[in-house]
Amino acid sequence: MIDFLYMGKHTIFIYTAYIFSIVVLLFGYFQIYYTFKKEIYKKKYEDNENK
Amino acid sequence: MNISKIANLKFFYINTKKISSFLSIITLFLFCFGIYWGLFVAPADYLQGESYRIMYVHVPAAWLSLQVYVIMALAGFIALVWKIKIMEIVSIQCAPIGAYFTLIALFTGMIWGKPTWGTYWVWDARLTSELILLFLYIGIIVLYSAFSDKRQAVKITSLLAIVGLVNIPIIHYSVEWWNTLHQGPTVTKFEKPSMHITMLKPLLYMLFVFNMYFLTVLIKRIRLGIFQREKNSKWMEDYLND
Repeated sequence: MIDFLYMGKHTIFIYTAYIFSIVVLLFGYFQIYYTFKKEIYKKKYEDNENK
Repeated sequence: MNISKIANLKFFYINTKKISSFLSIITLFLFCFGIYWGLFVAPADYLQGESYRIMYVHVPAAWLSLQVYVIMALAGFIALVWKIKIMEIVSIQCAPIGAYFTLIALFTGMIWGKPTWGTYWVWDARLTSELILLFLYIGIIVLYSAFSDKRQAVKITSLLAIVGLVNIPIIHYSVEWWNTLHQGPTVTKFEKPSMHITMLKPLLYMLFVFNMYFLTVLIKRIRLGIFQREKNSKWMEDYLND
């Protein structure tokens, strides 16, 4: 398994680049989900305040 | 289906929920396969060895950083001239997506630079102009959030996006106009690409996957933008209550 993943002396550089990209792309995706949840919560709160 | 119907905020919001979820799943599978192809299937480069594999995330991210900016400026222009509401939302929602792509391009470029150039960063034309692009995206996001009147904010950010378009050809041609450490074009030389087909195929595939990601996230962001703008409207109240 380790042999399969090993990419020579630049292994750490390659995986750092890929992991960083994946983390940023996932963050970009889930940020929308949490902002949506926050907005819906805010709207419900405002609606309750107005009642 | 005509365009005016898609441009209708209510129609877009209601009809894209399932599409965006479907696209998310498809993109995830395509992305996983692309990562596998780029990391383990594509052959090693004779000169750079394995480190060139960073290209499969760096190059699509760099292309998308430019493409998203052009789309943002175009949408901003249409919003300014024809006052189409959905284009205002498209324009501003492109900014964070573009910023993420630019961040990936810059960071992975730095990581790639260390084993190939011997340094993480140099102030050459390509790197500096790409950094300016990141600042433009951040500037647009900050400017938009500084205004309480969001329609007024979009007018100003659209203008900034249009003015900032001048940076796009500078980034693209920087490697030809100036002597830079960054390599010249390899893929866009279609008459004679200086890359073997076994390396080119996964790159083009990853470019497609990054475009799919952009489309998925853009649809989701447009829905968010519509919700933020229309949350107190009658149709949104009815839709949420259903």
